[in-house]
This record gives sequence, C-alpha cells and structure tokens, in this order.
Amino acid sequence: MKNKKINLIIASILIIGIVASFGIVSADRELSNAKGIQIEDFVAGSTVEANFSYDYFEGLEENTEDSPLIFKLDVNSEEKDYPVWRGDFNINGYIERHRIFGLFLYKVPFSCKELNRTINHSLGSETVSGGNGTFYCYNRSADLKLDRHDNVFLDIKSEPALYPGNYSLSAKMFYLNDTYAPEVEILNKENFERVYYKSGNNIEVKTSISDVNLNKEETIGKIFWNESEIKLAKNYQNGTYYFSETLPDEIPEGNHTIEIFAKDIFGNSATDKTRLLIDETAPEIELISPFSDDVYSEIMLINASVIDEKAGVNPDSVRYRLREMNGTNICSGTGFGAWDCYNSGWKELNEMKEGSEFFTKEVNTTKLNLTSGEYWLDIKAKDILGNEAYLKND
Amino acid sequence: MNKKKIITSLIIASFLLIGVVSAGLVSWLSNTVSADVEVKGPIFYLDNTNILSGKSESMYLKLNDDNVSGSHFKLSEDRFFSDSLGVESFYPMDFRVILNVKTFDLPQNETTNETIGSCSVEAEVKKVSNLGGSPEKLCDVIKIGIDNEGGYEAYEINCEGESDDEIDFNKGDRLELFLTNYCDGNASMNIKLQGESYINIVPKE
Repeated sequence: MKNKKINLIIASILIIGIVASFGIVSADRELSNAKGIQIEDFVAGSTVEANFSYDYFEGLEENTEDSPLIFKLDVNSEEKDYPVWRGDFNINGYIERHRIFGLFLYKVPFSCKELNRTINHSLGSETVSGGNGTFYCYNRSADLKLDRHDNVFLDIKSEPALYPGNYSLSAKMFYLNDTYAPEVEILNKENFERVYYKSGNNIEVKTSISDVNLNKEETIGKIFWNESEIKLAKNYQNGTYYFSETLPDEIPEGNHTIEIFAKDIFGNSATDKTRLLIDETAPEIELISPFSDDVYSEIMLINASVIDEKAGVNPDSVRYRLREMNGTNICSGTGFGAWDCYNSGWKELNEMKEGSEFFTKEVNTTKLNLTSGEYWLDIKAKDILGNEAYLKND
Repeated sequence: MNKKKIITSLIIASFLLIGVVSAGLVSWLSNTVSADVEVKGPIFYLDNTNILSGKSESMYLKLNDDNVSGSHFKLSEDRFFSDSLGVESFYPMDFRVILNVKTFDLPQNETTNETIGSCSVEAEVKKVSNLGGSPEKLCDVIKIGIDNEGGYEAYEINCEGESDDEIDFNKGDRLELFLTNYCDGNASMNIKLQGESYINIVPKE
C-alpha cells in the first residue's frame, strides 16, 4: 500500500514535469506553443495564403526589455533533384491584431527576405542567413510584437517554373539577440592616471555600466600586475558601480592596470581600463650644506635637496635634527639623563620656494647656546604616500 | 507480489523515459509550426484578349486564373501568348492541352446522312521572346478524330515535350500556344473559353 502511494507521487511529479516543460519560451529564447500552419495545395505561379499563431504574451517576463521578434520561414522540396532555389518563392505577410475584445482588427505588415542581411534593431544588429527557401520576416521597426492569440498570415507567391511536387513549410519565431556590448566608463580616471598609490592605500573606482540586459554577476573589477591579479570589491549605489580594495603588501612598484569588465546575458562584453601607479620608493635626500667638518661660530645654514620623482615630496615632512657628539657617541633620546647633551629634536626645514627641491634653515648657534664641539645632523623626509627616507651621512 | 512490483517499476520507468524524451523534444517541437503542401504545375487559360499590341490575332494565355474574356472562338490558325514568365529556367515538361471543342458542318454521307468526316487540331507550344519572336518549339501534337457536333466536349491532348533537359528562359520570355484547324470539307471548329480550355504544364515523365 505504501509502495503504491510512493509510485503515484513519483508518477504525478513526472506528469507535472512534462506539462511544465510546455513553457511559453524555451531556454534558447525561441517562442513556443505554436499552432498551424493552415495552408492549401496550390498551383505554381499563384499566390497562396497560409496562417498560424503563437500563444504569446507581450511583455513576457522572459522577454527581457521586449527583445525584437522575427520569424524564420523554411520552404523545402521533397524532390532531391529540384530543391528550392532563391526566388522560387516570394513571401510577405501581416499579423492580425485584435483591439477592444476583438471588435476591431488591424494589421501589422512585415516583409520576408531570402537573403543574408543585417537587421538593425533597438538592441543591436544581427546578421541572419537566408537564401534558397529560408526567409527572415520582420517589420520596419524589426519587432513584430505579437500579442497572445495574434494570428500570422503569409502571402506566399510562387514562380510558375516551381517544380510540381510536395513541399514542406515551417515557421519559427524567435527573439533577436542583443548584440550591443555594455557601455563601461570609469568615471574617476583622474584619480589614477597621474596619482600614485602604495600598498595599504584604499582605492575606489567609480564606474558607469549600462546595458539593458546586463549580467550583474559578470560585472567585475580587477587589478593586474605582472602575472598576478586581485579582484575588487563591488558595490552598486544610485546607478553607479563602486569597485574598491585595500592595496595588498605584495603589490610591487610600477605601472599596473585596473580593468572593469562587464558582460550582458547575450555574451557581449566590454571593458574600461585605467592605470594604477604604485610608488614604494622614498625621496632622495642630498645635503648641500653644511659640509662635514665645517666650523660655525654663529649662523649655520642647513640646505638639503629632497627629490621624489613619482609621488612627490611632502614638504611638511622634511625635518632636521642636531645632536651633540662626544667622540663617537651621539646624543640620543631627549638629551637628558646620564649624559646631559644637546638634542634639538626634529625641526622643520623650510621649502626655499613652493615646488623647489631645496629645503633650508638658518640655525643661530648663539641663540641656541650651543657649546663648542661636534654636532651630528640628521635630515628626514617623506613623499606624499608616506615613504620615508633619512639622510645618510658618510 | 513480485510480478506486481515489476509491472509497477516498468510503468514508472516508462513515465520517466517519456518525461526525459518529452523535455528534450517539446521546446523544439512547439516553437516551430510546419505543414506539407502539394504544388501542381501552372495552368494557362485561353482568353480572347489581344495581348501583344504589335501582333494581330494574338490572344492571351492567362496564368492560373479561369476568369477569362470571351465565350468561344472559331478556330483557324490562332496564337495565344502568356505574360512574360519572369523565370530563368523550366524543368523538362510535357503539356496537357485541354480544349473544349464543338465541330460544325462535318461532311455527311448523302444517302445515310452519316457523318463521314472529322476535324483535327494541331497544338504547338513554343517559347518566344517578350515581343513574340524567336520561337523555340517545346512540343507539337495533332489530335485527330474530333467529330462532336452535338455540343462542346473536352479533349485532352498530351503534348510531349521535346527537351529532356532543363530549358533556359530569359525573364521576358513567354509561352505561345499555336492552334491549327484541319477539318474535312467545309467543316469548322469552335473552341469554348470560359475557363474550360487551357494548358497545364506537368513535369516530363
């Protein structure tokens, strides 16, 4: 008894599956539930009417953005020696549409071409291969826009020289493909093209991506360097995609690429790129004055050249320190403690003028009450990213 | 009990098989509509409209339309032309010439009043240029023994095509039907139009 119940359930599931598989639109974006074709035998050289219908809803959920619809017609001969050639048939037609509960009828005409041709439509342009009995039918707007129960009528004109015999006629309706690639544009390239970053910095790439059939899962931002890559975190807000990441420690110095990639559900893809400039190098400091072993009685001019070719020097970071020496010992720390010695602490070196590589300071040794002796001069500087350098005294 | 189980399993397996096959076929079957149709050879109806302006007595072979002008005509030597066919070639063809005919004044035996003569008609089908020139014979046949004086009668004349190969056409070329009357004595023949006299092209057997 229990077995019977299980069997019944399994059978029911299978039957439901079969019924469900009669979907209105199949996975390959072709319409289904077609009915017809009604056509009568005819005489070569005459025009015959055929009609058929599709059980189709306009604005169907699966029909993303109302993709344009067209028909494909195929006419084939059963006579192997006399296949259908281009020009044997001339086909045009119309869709009969009902308005107000069927009280009014109007016709949407379409033409059928037996040629290879490109159909330009709202979502792209698609080349179809017609010829020798294969026709593609569409109206001027390249969209037939069928409603449920609309009937399709074909006027099929044949050549008088059409070989008498049996022919088959088939009609298939399907969506035109979206052939336009998404539009991808990085909106803040100015933040990357001439701006340097270093590991640990956060970057954010603001991007506009538009495509009516965009596959959001396939919208990706990446940084590429050498043979490595890192995927950026994605956030969508108010119509804009934000790709962000904290630059990892392993990202090397150099010019790398940020790429934003987008793909639509038809497989069209596009990218936009910008540079990612990485600077891990500290500024170069060169002491101009004082010279080693110079003797000063009152004013000592400290002058240093500080250069950072990539990110640039942070002028507020250029500082000096003067420390008393005792033989080979240099006053450490604050200068207080076991050895009561002089330590100026880190003090600012002033930019000679804005944008100059030279940083100077006049030190009045008298005012500082420096006693006679030897003093050790340190200079340090950072670039605007924080890469720090110290003057190396020889 | 075991048998029952086997039968039940078979039924389930059948459902499963049907399910799998249907799921594969349904989308393909249901998005295409198709039909088979038989195409017959063209029919040219005799019509007494003068079609070639430069040629007197050039009547009309009206394609696939039996709504013709004229009721009948007296046959002597009469030519009928189709419109330009607009084709580049024709398959090897035979011609079924259907003529609805009535004879008049056939010779009679003066003693017995029996009809002792008859009429014949020669039908010749040609390919001609747009202006009716450059004839090329496609078939020629003579039908003898036409002797019905009582009323119109349909005679089927099979005119066997001379070419076994595809026949080249220029797009402006027409078909011409040339009918000639051969009657004994002073007899004559009328041919009824009204969609009852025509040529039907059939593929050569």
